[in-house]
Amino acid sequence: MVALDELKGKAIQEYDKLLRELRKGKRPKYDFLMNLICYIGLPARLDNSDFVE
Amino acid sequence: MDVLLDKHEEDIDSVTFNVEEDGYYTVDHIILPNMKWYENATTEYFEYYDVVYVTDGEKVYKQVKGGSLVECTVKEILERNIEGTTIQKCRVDIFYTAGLQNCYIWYCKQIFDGLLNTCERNKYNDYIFARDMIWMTLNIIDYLVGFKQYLEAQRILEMFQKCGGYCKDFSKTKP
Repeated sequence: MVALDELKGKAIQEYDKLLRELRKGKRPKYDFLMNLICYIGLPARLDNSDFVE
Repeated sequence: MDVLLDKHEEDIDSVTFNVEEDGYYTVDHIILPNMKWYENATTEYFEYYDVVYVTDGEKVYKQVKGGSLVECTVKEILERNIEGTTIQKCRVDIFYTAGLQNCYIWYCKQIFDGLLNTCERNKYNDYIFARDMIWMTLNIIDYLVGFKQYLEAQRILEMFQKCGGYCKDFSKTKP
């Protein structure tokens, strides 16, 4: 859980950067943040999956 | 007894009220002893408290010098320091994002319908960008709420609403 919290903290920082770029009128790349958020959500999705035992 | 200044409906174990705008809300549950407690309490109990507040379920009363009860306002209960009184408070934090969620679903639907009809991905690049931004925003808000950083989550929400204007029509929702 501590590692997951660290990743969430990192995602929050990345999002803040993204939002600042967006405010300048730029359209920043966001692949890293998208992948990070997907990765953070992975354990919960695996726990709820019927296909993984 | 739950006291809310907004219009609300209450059940034995739940309170329902309308929220029209996304954001951070706090709900204060005010707990007061009832008249049965007041009638059965001994003077020893009363001496324990500086001020005794009670309710009959409809109105709120406070005990004044001489021991008699006078009606008081809900505003007084909400605003006063509860130390040394019979008032108990329980605060619940709520972060409401239904407007943003509806907005996300709207973008997904537009992209889905659009791609089914034309198969021109480039035509929907703006919608795809908006959908991804909203999805990321919802997740980041979720993390901040998990860390109990409600004010930071509110700041993120307001900043997102300001720049881009992706969800202008969804910032206020009617449940």
